[in-house]
Amino acid sequence: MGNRPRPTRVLCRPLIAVSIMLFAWWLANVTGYVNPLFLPSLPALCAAVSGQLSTPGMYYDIVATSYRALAGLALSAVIAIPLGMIFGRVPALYDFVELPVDFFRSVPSSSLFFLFILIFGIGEVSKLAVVFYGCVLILLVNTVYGAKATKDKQDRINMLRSFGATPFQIYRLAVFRDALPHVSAGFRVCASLSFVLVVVTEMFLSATAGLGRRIYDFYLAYRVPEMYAVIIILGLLGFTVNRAFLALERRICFWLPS
Amino acid sequence: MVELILRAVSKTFSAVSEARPVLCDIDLLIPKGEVVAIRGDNGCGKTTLLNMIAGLEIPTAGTIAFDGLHHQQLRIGYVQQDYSSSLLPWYNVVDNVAIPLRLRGIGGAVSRNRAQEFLAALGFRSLPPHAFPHELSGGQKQKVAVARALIHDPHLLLLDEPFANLDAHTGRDLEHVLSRTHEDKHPTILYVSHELDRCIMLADRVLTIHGLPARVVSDFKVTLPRPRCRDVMFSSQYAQMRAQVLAQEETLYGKPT
Repeated sequence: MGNRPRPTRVLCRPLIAVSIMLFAWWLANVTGYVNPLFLPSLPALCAAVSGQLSTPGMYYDIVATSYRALAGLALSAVIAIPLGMIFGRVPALYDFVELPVDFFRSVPSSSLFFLFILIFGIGEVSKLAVVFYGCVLILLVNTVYGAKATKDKQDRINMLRSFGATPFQIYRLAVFRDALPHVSAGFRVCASLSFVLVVVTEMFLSATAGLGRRIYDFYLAYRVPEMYAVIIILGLLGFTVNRAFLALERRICFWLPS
Repeated sequence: MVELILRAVSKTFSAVSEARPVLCDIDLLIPKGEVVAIRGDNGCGKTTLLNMIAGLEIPTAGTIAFDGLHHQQLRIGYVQQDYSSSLLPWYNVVDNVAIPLRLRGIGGAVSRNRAQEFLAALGFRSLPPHAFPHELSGGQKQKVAVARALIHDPHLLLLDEPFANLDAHTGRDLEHVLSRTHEDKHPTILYVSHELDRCIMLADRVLTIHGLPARVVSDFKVTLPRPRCRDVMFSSQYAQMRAQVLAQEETLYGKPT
């Protein structure tokens, strides 16, 4: 317990970093180092954030963006996790697909925007497809690594086998739980990525709602403080989702050193 | 308890460059309820032998039979050499001990109660029942692994260096638990140990395997009467047996310099 940092200290450190960033913003704005047209003053920014948060349409956009990001992520998890569990335990099978998986992982999801429009049209499906494509292979590879045998994992499997466990019991009691740290790490990476992809699709794939659409609209109208305000709200949303996944990961994988 | 019959069992591991024979022509007959200690130098195949008996490895040649029983009918309790990693880190002490019961379809609450009662019956009251493996010491983890191996009343108990890395007190505790289990339930027990005193104190036979590939090179019968208390270690009969086993091993390995 003696090594645990005090809660005040834990809270202070990030606050100091944020204060430095705000100070740098203020300094850049006051000194005119950056054109004030591109970097609004802090009071103007605060007014824009509060103005955006008091607009009902903003919450509709937050829900729309979150829904697209999390639905795409959930869809990729439904496919990637069971497949990754199988590939991880049957390396010979993974050998067949490793090359195409690595190849398609190297193709950026954003480069497939127009292909998805051609295939799925400009509706919701193409936006979900971009998120799904961006996340599914990352989750798959993470799950494969989680399910792959290491000495410790094999010891646990051997223990269950020696007690006569069926393959299903071995998956349920050991393989799946052992893979969870890798799977949840993949989830966290993909949660952030899904928001990035959704915002870009909302900008370019004719969305009628969403934070990406809102940023694009403010950009076209040259309303720079509002544009910054939506970016900050988007950042807070992504940060919250990331923290939520991290808390979930710590809860699920409680036995791992923090 | 179960009779264990090994006929001409061999094991060769296939590596990328060459095949590596580990065990060759192991013939063993271990009657029901007998306690057999296995000795041998590091890497000679003792763990492989236990793994094959536990059904975790398939012999390259030969057969392993259990008194007419199939592996599915047989209850085995196996304490692996790396007992620490064999515990499920997401289960607490009670849940880890209850695993063999749960695998046999006994429900969560019932199996937990039985595990808790069993830990008390073994005298492992100092084990915190709701602690997780990362919160336990090495000795406590070993006790959990031993309790887990015993809870389903196994026909055959396999122990791979159960006393390694334990302090004297914990080692004696485990020795006592194994002796009592054998007196009460008479399971057939095979254990690997480098400690000669514990081999003679617990076993009916001490086998030594040696060579590359390894074979059984000595099969020493321990004729000390049971139950054996620690006083037996000071008897002349004990000293004589100890000297005989050591003399046999000296012919294999040469005298220590």
